[in-house]
Amino acid sequence: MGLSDGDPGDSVEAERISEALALGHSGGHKGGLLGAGGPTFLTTKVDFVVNWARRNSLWPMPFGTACCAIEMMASAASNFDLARFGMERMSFSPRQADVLICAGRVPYKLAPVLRRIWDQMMQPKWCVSMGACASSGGVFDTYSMVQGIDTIIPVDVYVPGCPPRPEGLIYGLMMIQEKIRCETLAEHSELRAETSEMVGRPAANADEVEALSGPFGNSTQQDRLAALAQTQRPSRSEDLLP
Amino acid sequence: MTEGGASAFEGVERGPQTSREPAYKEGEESTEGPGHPSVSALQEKFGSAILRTEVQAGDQHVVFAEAPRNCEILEWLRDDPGQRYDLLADLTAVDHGGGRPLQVVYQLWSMTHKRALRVKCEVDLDALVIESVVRLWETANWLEREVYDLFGIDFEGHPDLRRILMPQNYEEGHPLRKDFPLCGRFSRAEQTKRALSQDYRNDYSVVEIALGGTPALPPTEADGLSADSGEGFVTAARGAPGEPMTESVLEASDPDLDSEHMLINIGPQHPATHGVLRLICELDGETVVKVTPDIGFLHTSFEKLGEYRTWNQIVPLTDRIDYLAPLIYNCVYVMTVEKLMGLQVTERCKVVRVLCMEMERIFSHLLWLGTTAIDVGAFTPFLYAFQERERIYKLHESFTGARITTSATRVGGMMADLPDGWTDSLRDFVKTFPNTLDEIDSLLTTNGIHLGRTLDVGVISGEDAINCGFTGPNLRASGVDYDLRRDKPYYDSDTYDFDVPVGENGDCYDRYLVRMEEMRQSLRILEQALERLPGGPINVADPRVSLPSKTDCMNDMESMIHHFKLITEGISVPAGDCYFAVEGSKGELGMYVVSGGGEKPVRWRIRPPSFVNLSVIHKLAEGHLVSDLIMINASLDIVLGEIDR
Repeated sequence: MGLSDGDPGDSVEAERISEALALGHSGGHKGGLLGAGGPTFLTTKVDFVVNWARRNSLWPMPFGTACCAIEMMASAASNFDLARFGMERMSFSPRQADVLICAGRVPYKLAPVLRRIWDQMMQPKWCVSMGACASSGGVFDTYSMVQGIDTIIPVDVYVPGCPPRPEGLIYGLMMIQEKIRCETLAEHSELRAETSEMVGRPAANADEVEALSGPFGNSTQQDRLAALAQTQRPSRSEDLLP
Repeated sequence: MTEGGASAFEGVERGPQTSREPAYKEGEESTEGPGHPSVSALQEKFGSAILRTEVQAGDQHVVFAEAPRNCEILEWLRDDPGQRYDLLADLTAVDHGGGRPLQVVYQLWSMTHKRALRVKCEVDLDALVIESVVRLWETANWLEREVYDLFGIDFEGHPDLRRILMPQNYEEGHPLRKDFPLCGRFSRAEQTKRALSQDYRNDYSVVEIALGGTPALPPTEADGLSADSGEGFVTAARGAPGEPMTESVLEASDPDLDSEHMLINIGPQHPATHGVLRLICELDGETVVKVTPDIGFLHTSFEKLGEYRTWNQIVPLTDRIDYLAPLIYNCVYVMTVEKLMGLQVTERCKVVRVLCMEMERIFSHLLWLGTTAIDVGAFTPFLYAFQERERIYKLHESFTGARITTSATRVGGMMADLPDGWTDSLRDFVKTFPNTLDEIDSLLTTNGIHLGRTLDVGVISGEDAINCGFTGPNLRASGVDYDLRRDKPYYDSDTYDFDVPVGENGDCYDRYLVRMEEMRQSLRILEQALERLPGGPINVADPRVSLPSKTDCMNDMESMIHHFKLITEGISVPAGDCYFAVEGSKGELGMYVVSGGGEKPVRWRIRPPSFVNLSVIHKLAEGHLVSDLIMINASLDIVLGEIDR
């Protein structure tokens, strides 16, 4: 996730300052308060303000396809009321959206659409993969289905469930908020995983796609060994985010 | 199960289907008994063109017709006053594998005589051609395209034969054929690469390419274009006969005209398309000249996956098809299998299923109501509707443990009996829900904006509606009084006291009124069913499907073996096929299962009501404003999970 605590060797002063400002940990910085590229008093202060603003007005881009979309609607409706988290403004235009919620199955025919919508969203942007199908293909290990949207776009939070309850989605979105809280401008470009060369391209390379789809095949090809032999890739792929 | 194992089974009664039958058993010849009037009339009229007839699942008559004469026979069946099969309920194909010919299956229904008939034509694998029936029923347009897409059968004379669910440039073959592997022919990496390649045919439909001239994106495989002859791409580019698109294209490109047509694309990711539907609209100003739906963006391949699942394992798939009314899907699937097995469920189970199905009708209509109201700018009904839906979610949850994906039925009964206090909660819902309904009613029914957006928008006549295969509220709004609960009764549904609301004009407003009234009628049925709900077991005590009790399993060997067999192998269903339909929330919801006598189906087909309803959106929308198109689309009450399957 990239949310490592500060090194133990960090300047005591930096911790004291951040505690005094009630910042919590300001996210994985190396080199201490005065180290090269490290956060300064100014940047931590700016981080605090920027992250506060970002995390409390996340505009979701609801990429709802199937059952999960219905639960996403339930989350936005009166009982669960996503507006409590500053997310009531569903941004159906990707240009104004901050967090893509991919809710539901994604067939290959839809993959370029998903990729294009992700490319159209402005940085900073985050992605929630809602439900089993979006996260791994779910029970649909078939010819038409993408085996997890993380082969297409980078994903920040996976919400398990088939479909997840609205509470589950809200928890996932709160994890995004937590992630934002720990970000720092000093590492801004590193946190933004994608470069312009990745536009329109899958997030995973061919080996990773094979490795993801093989061993995790569902009951139609449950034999793990057979799946491994088929893909010739015994190791699990690394985190897709570079 | 092996033959050797059968002897250990001596003490256990397993019904008639314990021994291995040949892979596909033909039904009995329909010689005696209550014959079907159409069958004998057909034999008399067409003689040798009727190859054979059978009776399946007890009372379903099947006629095997000569494939080259299918159109002639079907036309006679549609037009002869003694037959009048005016509704083509379903058209699909079956592949039995092993090089046997593919069967094209027509499910016919006569509104006049209230009779059903199944006509099958067999086409050999080396010449997969059959005449199209689009000129007889408009329903066949999309259904034939689907069969072409998934089976590769060529329909001669079809106006627009190209892939419908899979991408136009899909090269792996025809997925529902038995020789097609479940995960496709290419590796996952190749499939991903192809899906995201810069091939413009991924992103643009043939219509758009034809309109737009040279594609803007670099054609990576431009040379391949001429190679896929027979595919729709080339056909559309050179202007197929009967393709009205090309005429309007010519018009639009005429420089003398002072206005040009504009092409806009709604979806697949658009809040008003109610799912991942793409509507390619050609506009003249703000008027829709032509609208071409592009579907398949949610093609999950349920039907293929079903062939790899045992009979009870399919139940969890069914509620993911239509996630707006999952329990109806659970019920209709097991009802079809039970009909094929000749299994009678208990009285309590019947009433519980009626309760479930009527509850789901309200559940589904409420979502339709909320989202449709948003489409005309009213947000409050959405919140009100979801408030009530949350109560049904709670009922789902206390019964099945899940909010949406209920998977509540099993062949022979339900997964469990109703929990304590469930009926009281439902009774409470039935009592108080009309208040909310009245509130929403008062917000919309006489609301000037709502009236302005719906009155006389998207009109379709009753005759056209039948020809287009409309069913359910959409058909009834056009003034056709056809409700399967009354006309093809199941579970004593005709003994309940309820009215079938029927509209007059067939416009969006009538479709709205019909659905509102249907919710009230469902409440009436719920009330009566709650009164009727008998005691007794919920699951049938049939050793073919029901597990022996835990005590028995622990105490005697036969029961333990029986338990083991049922769990490890699943139930087996006698060879044959069966089509069964109920009145779903969106129309005639049918399932067609073909069994080879084994633990898995040979074919599991869903007759998709909203697929058929959506296929005529061009008829409803052309000539209206583009904003009306949104309302028309909403008024059809589509669900993409079921359209694309």
